[in-house]
Amino acid sequence: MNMNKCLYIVVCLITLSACSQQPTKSEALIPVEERYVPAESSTTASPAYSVDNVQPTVIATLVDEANAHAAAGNTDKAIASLERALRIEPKNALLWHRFAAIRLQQHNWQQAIALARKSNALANDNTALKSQNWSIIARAYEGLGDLEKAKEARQRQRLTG
Amino acid sequence: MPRKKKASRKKRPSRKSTLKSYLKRWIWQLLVIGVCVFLSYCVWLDYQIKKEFEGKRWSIPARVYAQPTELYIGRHYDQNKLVTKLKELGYKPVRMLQGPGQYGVNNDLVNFYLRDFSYWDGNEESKKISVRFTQQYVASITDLDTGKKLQIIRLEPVLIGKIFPLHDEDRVLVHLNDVPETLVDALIAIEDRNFYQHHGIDPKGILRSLFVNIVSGKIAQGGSTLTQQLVKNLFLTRERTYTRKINEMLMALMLDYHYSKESILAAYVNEIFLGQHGARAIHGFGTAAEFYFSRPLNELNLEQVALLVGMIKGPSYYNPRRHPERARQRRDLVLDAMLELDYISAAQHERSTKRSLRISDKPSWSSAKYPAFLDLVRRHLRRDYENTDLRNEGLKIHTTLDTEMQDTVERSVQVSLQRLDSLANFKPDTLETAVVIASQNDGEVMALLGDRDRNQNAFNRALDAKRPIGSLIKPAIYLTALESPGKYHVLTALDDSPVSLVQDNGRTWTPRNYDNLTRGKVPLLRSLAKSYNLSTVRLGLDVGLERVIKTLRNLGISGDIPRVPALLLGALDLSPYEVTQMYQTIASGGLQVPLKTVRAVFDSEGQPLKKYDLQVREYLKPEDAFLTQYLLTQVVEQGTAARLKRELPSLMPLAGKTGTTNDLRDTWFAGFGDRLLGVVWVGRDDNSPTKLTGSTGAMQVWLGIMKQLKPVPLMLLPPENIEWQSLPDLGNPPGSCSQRANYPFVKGTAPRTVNCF
Repeated sequence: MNMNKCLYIVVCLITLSACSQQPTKSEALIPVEERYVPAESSTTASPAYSVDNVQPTVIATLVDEANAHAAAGNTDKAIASLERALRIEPKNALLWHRFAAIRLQQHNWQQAIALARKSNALANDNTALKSQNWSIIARAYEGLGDLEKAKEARQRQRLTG
Repeated sequence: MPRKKKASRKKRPSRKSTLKSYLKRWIWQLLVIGVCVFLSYCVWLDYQIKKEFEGKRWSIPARVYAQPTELYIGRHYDQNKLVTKLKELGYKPVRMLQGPGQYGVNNDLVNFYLRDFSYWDGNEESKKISVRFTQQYVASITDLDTGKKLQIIRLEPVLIGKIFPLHDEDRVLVHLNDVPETLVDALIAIEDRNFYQHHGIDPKGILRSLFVNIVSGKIAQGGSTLTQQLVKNLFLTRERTYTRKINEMLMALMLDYHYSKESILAAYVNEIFLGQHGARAIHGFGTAAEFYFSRPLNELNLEQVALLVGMIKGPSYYNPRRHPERARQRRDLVLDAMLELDYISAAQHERSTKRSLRISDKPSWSSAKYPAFLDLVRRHLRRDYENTDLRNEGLKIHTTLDTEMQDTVERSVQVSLQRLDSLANFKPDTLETAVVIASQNDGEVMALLGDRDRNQNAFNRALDAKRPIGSLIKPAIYLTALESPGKYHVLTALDDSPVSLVQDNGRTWTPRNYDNLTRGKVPLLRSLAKSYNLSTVRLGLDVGLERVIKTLRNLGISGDIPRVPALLLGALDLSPYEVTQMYQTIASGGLQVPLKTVRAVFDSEGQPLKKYDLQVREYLKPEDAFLTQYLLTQVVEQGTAARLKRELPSLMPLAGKTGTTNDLRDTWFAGFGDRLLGVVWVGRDDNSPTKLTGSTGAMQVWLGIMKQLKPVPLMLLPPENIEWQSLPDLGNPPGSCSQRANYPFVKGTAPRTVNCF
């Protein structure tokens, strides 16, 4: 089924991101997110923000847990595990995607759409993920009976995919 | 037999006997009807009592927990913090871990025996854990029994309070086990000597009290039983009529029939009226102990208990703060009665009657550490769960409170407000405040302050103080304009020239800029950054009030919104909580998540009640939300909040908006980074001027808090259809245009060049 395919892709993506972001020893303690922020040269001694150096393995553990819950049909628990992961990494597009997929599984169409869009907004140039999100959006619109929007989403899926 | 009957029928009855039998029948019928009506009335009454009382039975309260501390590889945390946390959770230091709830420190390792705890996504099993820190990060987590490396564990959450979810007030409820024996003795001695014998009403007691009153020549004892008094407090009005008295007796009998003496006593102790403070009624001994003595009930000594019991008869007449001598006499009378029944010894009696009243100077409300937050939890429970579920005994409520953050916020606010009081030449404790800190992505409220002093939580300003929001409304207007990218972009020239409007009531409204100056043409981003009123009003009128109101609805404002031009300058009363919801929608990129405090509720069997999920709705287009976020970063970069940039240079960029209302009555600041969103209001309860503005008032409080919390900077992550265009820098100093800067536009709408202004 499509769901399984989706699971497979998520697992692959997480494994991939784990590989690509594996910090070398020297930079292991540099907060990841600091790299996105242009550092201000400052003379005043002011506090630097505290940010975690989240390891992909931590998130992967929680996603595995969520997947196990979802596979057992326990979608509420799956969401609880994902929320736990999202509290650690709120800007992780994969987590939002997974969240959308579980909402889709619950036939909670509106939320599936909103969450998939949120994932897209965070996905940067991860086109594979974006394509998956458009697929969720398309299926959710089909569920809602809005075939026109579903078709539109399918088109976006093909364009990004 | 039938024959005889037939014969008697034939006999013509006399007129007198006809009337008699008619009357008799009529009386019988009336009696039957009367009894029927009375019985159905009783049934109805009985039903009412059971319904009401069931909801007010003070048995096992719900336990409320803060959010658990998560430890995972790479978390920014340190050894000291962990040890403090373990101590807070009651872990004991040991040399060898032998059972749950113990810990030990060994160089860079913290070893502890984790207690088990069930969460909504599964159980955290009890196990021996070793955590190693490298500098300020969690480097490894090991299961000491299996040697397995773990990725993530959570420490069981801190218990932050015990509540009855369906109960309206934040009274301090006490379980019968926590009620001092002396209190029960005193109640029985002075109010109802046959409590354990009678059936709800006490004829003997009435006679005895009559006798005592006549002999003593004063009204020393009342005839109502504790049960009757409870009924009066629970169900009836204060009027004194015979119907009411009869109702009271009937209900007392029923209550006594249905419930045990213990249940009745437990309800009595938590329900009885013991004073009034402004609009607030003091109900129950738990609340009264805090209110009069600033101490929990089980810490009161004999004469203090006697004083409270004595007050039942007339809480305002015997008010110890206002009529200390009267209250003292009444207290001694209670002690006399206790001595008479041998509940206390003569020595105790003598010692106690010699003591002064020792009432606390200031009324305090609660010994709960986080009263404002618990108040919100109670409201959210009722919003998100079935009442019938909440009635269950012994619920466990998991909340979003971050106790470390809450404590930090409280400490910081105290310092800031002291400074602001003296800055504005006020007496100490003049200014009031309310603070909400939420996680912007999932809408979880992590800290909440309804008063500068947590012990004075009579009025939860964060939720209930609705004040005009002033310029905090402006982002909604600019957002509405940016929804038409063909017409408006971040550099559109706005007209900041004087404007006058005739309103519906015929009066002319002439808004002014804060500094009374006008500026001609200003770029849109600077107009918001500097919070210019004239250009904003013109912009708002141009996009239309209706559309602005629609945007406010999309931002999550559900109450009344006045359709008047003054709305454009913030003539809209909102609570800090509602403002937080509004800014959450912008901060999260347009996905609105209802603010929440409750993650999950378990019943006493450990089964979750219907869980409240992260409800996400998309209310704004991502590009509109993004551009608004960008504009709000410019407020900090070059506008009314530029001081934040000077004070927190390493936390930039942050987004925010200042707000000030007429005559400087309310000062507001709402600001956010990538994760945290904070809203602060500073003002005065009597609505008089604060002599402060958004930037000199509320923003200083916000700044003080964020210096401690160190929020992650805002990562401006543009959606697909946003492009950056390099144009002359219209920022600081305005009009120089000597450099170039990048500005965001919806694709295809960026101007080639801009005039320098």
